[in-house]
Amino acid sequence: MGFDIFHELFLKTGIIHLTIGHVFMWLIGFLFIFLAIKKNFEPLLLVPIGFSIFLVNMPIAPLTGPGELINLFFKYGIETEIIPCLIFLGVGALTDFGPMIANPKTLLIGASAQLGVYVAFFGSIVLGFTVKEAASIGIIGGADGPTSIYLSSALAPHMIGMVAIAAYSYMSMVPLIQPPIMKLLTTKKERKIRMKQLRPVTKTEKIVFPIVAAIVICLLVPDAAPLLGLLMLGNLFKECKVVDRLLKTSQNELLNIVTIILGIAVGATMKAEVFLKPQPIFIFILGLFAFAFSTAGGILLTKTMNLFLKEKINPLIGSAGVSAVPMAARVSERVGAEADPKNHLLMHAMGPNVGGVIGTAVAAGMFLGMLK
Amino acid sequence: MWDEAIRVATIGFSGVFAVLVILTISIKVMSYFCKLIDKKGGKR
Repeated sequence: MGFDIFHELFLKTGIIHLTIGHVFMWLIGFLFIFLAIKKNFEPLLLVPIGFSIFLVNMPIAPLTGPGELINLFFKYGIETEIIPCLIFLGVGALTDFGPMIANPKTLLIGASAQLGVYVAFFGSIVLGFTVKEAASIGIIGGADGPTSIYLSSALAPHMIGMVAIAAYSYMSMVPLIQPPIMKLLTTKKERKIRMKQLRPVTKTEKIVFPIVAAIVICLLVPDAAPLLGLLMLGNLFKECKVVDRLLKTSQNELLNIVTIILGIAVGATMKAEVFLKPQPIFIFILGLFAFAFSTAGGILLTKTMNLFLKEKINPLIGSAGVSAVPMAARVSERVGAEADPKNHLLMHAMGPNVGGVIGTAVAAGMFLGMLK
Repeated sequence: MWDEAIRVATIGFSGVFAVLVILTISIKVMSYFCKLIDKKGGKR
């Protein structure tokens, strides 16, 4: 009798259902948490993602089945595309578009840094992915997590987790991936180019910009409207200076809440039975290619522009065309300072950096317009 | 499939450039008018 009760209790524990796959996923979860805490790689995302990987790989835990907690986060937050858009609202409320308004041609650098998106797109087709899946993988090259999630939830929902993990992993590794490519594609003389100080941008320009940008983009690429519309609304909150409470909520509480839900929901897609297949490895490799080519695309366009411009642009700011804000701009500053410690590129690099955010969202909108 | 992929990539990449070129021009025009408005406001 006593033995039967213990036997029944034992059968109801997760221990008996534990597999090597689950333990392997725990190690991946641990790696994410380690990178976040010890190396400070995107801790706001990698801690919830890493812990969520632990949770969903606890056998028979009621978390991801229909109607269960994390399933609801995913269903109502990610599948409905609400969370990526709300994150863009917060990003807009935190972003200063001033450097881009002062030097609008840096937007073109943001466009050229989408090169990797299309390189990875073709790479994915070669590896046997469908066109919709290839678009979801390619967008990793834009180095924009919310946009990657937004696009893959519409085109390839079964791949959201892998795409999001790859995008956020490479975003956190910007300081490791970009500098070698930047040094390879530029000469020391080019890295020393000093740029003229940016002109001051008036308050009127900063207030009118989000309205103009929303009109132009929403008319030209309607499918990018949910993302860029909220990005511009957040920015209007910031610049108009009359909605302080809404601004603070967008920048802090709202952004923090959706980041927690996003991290948990994304981590929950990494279940052993889904993740331990060759597909995620291909996605990670293609993502790295995408990221490298996007970095190169931005630098090469800047060098091409220099052939025609009287006032030269330091090509190091080209790498900031990927949209990892503001990390990519900081990398430009750091690599520039290695060549000339008195040369400060940060503000110049913020132009292509925020241009890259817009560029990636437009690229996603173009994919959606053609493939949805 | 390759035909569709080439079409999507060509239209997509050139579309991104076209949209951002138009946005660049729009910002230039916007800045011009904003400065004009600010100047008028300053004179008053």
